[in-house]
Amino acid sequence: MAKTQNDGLLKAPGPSPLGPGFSLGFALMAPAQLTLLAVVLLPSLMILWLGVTAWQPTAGIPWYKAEFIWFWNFYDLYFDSRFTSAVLRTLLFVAVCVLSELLIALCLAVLFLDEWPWRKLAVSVIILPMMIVPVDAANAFFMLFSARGPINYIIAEVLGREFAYAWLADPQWALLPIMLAEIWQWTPLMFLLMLAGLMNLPENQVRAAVALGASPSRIFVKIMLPLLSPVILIALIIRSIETFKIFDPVYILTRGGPGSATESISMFMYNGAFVFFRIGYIAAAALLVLVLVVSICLPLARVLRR
Amino acid sequence: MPFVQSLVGRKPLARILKRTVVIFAMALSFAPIFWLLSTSFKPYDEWAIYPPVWVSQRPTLQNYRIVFAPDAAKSFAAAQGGSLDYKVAGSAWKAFVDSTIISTAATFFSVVFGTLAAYSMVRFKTGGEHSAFQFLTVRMLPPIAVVVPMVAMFSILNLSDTYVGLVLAYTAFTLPFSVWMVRSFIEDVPQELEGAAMIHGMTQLEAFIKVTLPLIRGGVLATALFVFILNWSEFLFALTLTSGGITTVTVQVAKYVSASSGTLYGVQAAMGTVSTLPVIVFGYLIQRHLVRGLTFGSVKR
Amino acid sequence: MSASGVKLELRNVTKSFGGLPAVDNLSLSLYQGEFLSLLGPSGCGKSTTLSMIAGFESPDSGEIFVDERCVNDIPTRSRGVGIVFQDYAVFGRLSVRENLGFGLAAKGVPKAERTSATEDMAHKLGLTSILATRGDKLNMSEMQRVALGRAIIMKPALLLLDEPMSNLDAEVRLELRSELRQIQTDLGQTVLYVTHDQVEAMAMSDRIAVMNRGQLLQVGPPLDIFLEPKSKFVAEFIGDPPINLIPCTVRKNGAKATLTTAIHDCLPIGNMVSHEYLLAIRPHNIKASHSPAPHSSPSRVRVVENYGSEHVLHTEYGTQSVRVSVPPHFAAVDDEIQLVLDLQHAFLVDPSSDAMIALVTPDRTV
Repeated sequence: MAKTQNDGLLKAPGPSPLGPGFSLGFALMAPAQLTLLAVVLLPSLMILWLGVTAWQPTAGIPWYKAEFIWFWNFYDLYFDSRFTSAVLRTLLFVAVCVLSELLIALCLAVLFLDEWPWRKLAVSVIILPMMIVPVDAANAFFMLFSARGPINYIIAEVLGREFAYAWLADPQWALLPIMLAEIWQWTPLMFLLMLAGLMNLPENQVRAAVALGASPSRIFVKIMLPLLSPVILIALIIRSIETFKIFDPVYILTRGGPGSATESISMFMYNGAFVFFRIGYIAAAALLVLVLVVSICLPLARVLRR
Repeated sequence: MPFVQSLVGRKPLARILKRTVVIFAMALSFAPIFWLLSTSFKPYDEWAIYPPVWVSQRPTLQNYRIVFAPDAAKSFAAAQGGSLDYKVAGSAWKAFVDSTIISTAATFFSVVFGTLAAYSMVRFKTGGEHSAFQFLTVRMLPPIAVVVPMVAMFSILNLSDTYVGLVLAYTAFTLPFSVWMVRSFIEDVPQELEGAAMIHGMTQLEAFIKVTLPLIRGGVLATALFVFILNWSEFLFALTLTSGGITTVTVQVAKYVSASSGTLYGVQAAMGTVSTLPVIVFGYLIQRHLVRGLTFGSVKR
Repeated sequence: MSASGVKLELRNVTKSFGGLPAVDNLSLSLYQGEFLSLLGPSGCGKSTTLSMIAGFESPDSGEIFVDERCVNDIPTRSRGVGIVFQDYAVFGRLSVRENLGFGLAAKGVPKAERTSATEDMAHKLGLTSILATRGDKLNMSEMQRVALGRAIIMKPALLLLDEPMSNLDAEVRLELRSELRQIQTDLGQTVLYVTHDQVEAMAMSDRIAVMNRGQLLQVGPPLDIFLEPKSKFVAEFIGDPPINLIPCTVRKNGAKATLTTAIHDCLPIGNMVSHEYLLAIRPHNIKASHSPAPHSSPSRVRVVENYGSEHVLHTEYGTQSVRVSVPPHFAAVDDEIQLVLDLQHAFLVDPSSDAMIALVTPDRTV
């Protein structure tokens, strides 16, 4: 029987203080829904309008009187290499950071499966980066990667010669400190996830494989990884969604520069809106990004809940 | 786990290798934090010196004083013979106060609204699967996408640079976590418990408040701390929805740049250290629930 | 391969957890082709013993020999031991074929050989029709056979089974029990079977090793253990319905002695020391009749248990009741019947040492 005896009792019982026709269930959801309406839905609707205008607040006209320009914003965006670069660069961020975090975390988690005296301490230290305010972490990396900073010093010592490379000023390499900051900050999360996944593995399957004479690598690849795949999938999806929005390290470390060499999508939109004040244009970009995100992430989110 | 021996080797050599890797990982994890901490105690001339000073031989609390006591900041400026931006002349107390007010208020609303919504979703199946995913999609949007119209909206509603505006934004964007985390805790409590309470005469809401809530108290608290951490660490909204009237600790750090002295690394480090402390404390308190929170309740230990 | 065919030997194996011995100085040998059950209640140490033989845990002291080779320092994968776990631990994502061939693939056996061995084993176990089915889509009986086949195909020196029947329905259990025994006999596979179910152990084993509290109490063929238990625990643990323990007094009388219980007075027995004992007598060795007989005493029936082909009566015996086996419908509740104790197969238990002393009857001498 699918329904328990209590199912009927727990149906919303009818009129609530909010007036006839409202069930308790909806009343309970109301505050949350209203907040989302105000902060997410309304702005999204506004974007729909702004995206088809050429509004620039610096011109002095209010937004509702902005010039309507049909879909020219979208057309410009399509040919805007700065925008397309930002999109591709963000996808690069996601791919590199998330995969690195996963690999490092997995290798590290495997080492934590048995007990040893200072294991708890080790876990506490390893998850420390997760507990640092991202802006402060980014600042730390800014200091570390400065041209005459500790990292260059160490490299100089290792190479045995002068090394004063200006990481953050180099269009080619400035991405590295940003990626490292992101990876440093969020690998602990992957680590906790992988550890949880590994600890929940059915022990006996692994034992059976051992007794059958399988080598550690065979056991890991053929037995453990398939059993871990749900957790790995969840981890990949969640981290990808969050990394896609990357802003804090980019802002602190390079502001998207030099030029626009390290602009992520969020940084591109920030610069467009708050530095260049091309609100209408950015609104159109926001729309495109929203469409992109929703179309990819909605099916992924169904997977998440499985 | 006994089978691990077969994976990572029983031999002492394997064990030493393992421990070495772990120690190396610990060192890498701690290194940037160490640098921040160390720099916060360095005197001015050691901030950006080369070769770098790992641990200062002349540690000072000067940076912390600048963060908290404006007078110290002025005397610092005087001592350096340069002029400090007016922004730095103010103490960071306001930033801490503002952050506390906003984070606490936003956490309160987020958790309360989220709990009500979660209860509704779990027990009454309100909205079905759709509302559940609706909360998830909120997390998928880059916040900057809504900032742009929000700035326009706020200026119309006179909500720019106000507590209310920021609290509203923070609440909305942490609702997905509140809803999903509390939802997973409620799901752990069998429906029959409330049913039994109602047979004893309680109304639905009474049953929820008197029976279920106490049982998930720990989980709700963990959710609150988790959301607080997110709010406290938030940067983008604080940066864009304020214009100097309100400052959060995350924005405050960026203010320690002066025209003459360049970036005040030491002061930034001090500010960073202090502002990160609550997050570290709360983070370790809810360590067990971190995985549940960050995966929206889909992975539980 | 040794001449004597000792497949497993445990010598003085001890393992403690937190100061308490889980396995206490255990010594045991297993011979080629033998089915030995390690029988005992939960917590008696049988699972720990299995763990140590497999290599998942190390003994604190003592040696373990597999095929006459000391394996204390040899890791699990090289011990030549096969295991079937309680939950079967079938590899869910792999097909039955891949499960069966897993060990062979790990050893690097070429595909052709692997395929024929796998199909052969599948045929023996009736798995041919489901060779392509994924491990997590099998029912209990199929899972057990896959787990068995997977282990046996490696021709291990020793096959360890860890309570493999405990999560099966009763009727499936009976079926699989005989299947397992059949396979084992056909292949001549040496098996160590860990269980807490004495009926199962009695039905399947060549020998039974009874354990309690980490100690090995008795080893022997099922009938020997049943007829001649060496300690009170073994007597009580083996046998369904369980043995009766009746307090009694023995009085020596020259070259003979008498035995007195709550309702039986001065039964003649052979030469014994005067003492208070417990009389251990099985329900089948108490004869019931409706009319008085020599050395019989009356007793009232309190409970009738229907065992199908026989009934077991719980009858009053002083302050306790005893179980008596009778043919079906022999008596009803509240009937009065006469009980005669057949002391020929009874034992006395020394209350202080729990040791079993064979009873001498008038027509037997020490």
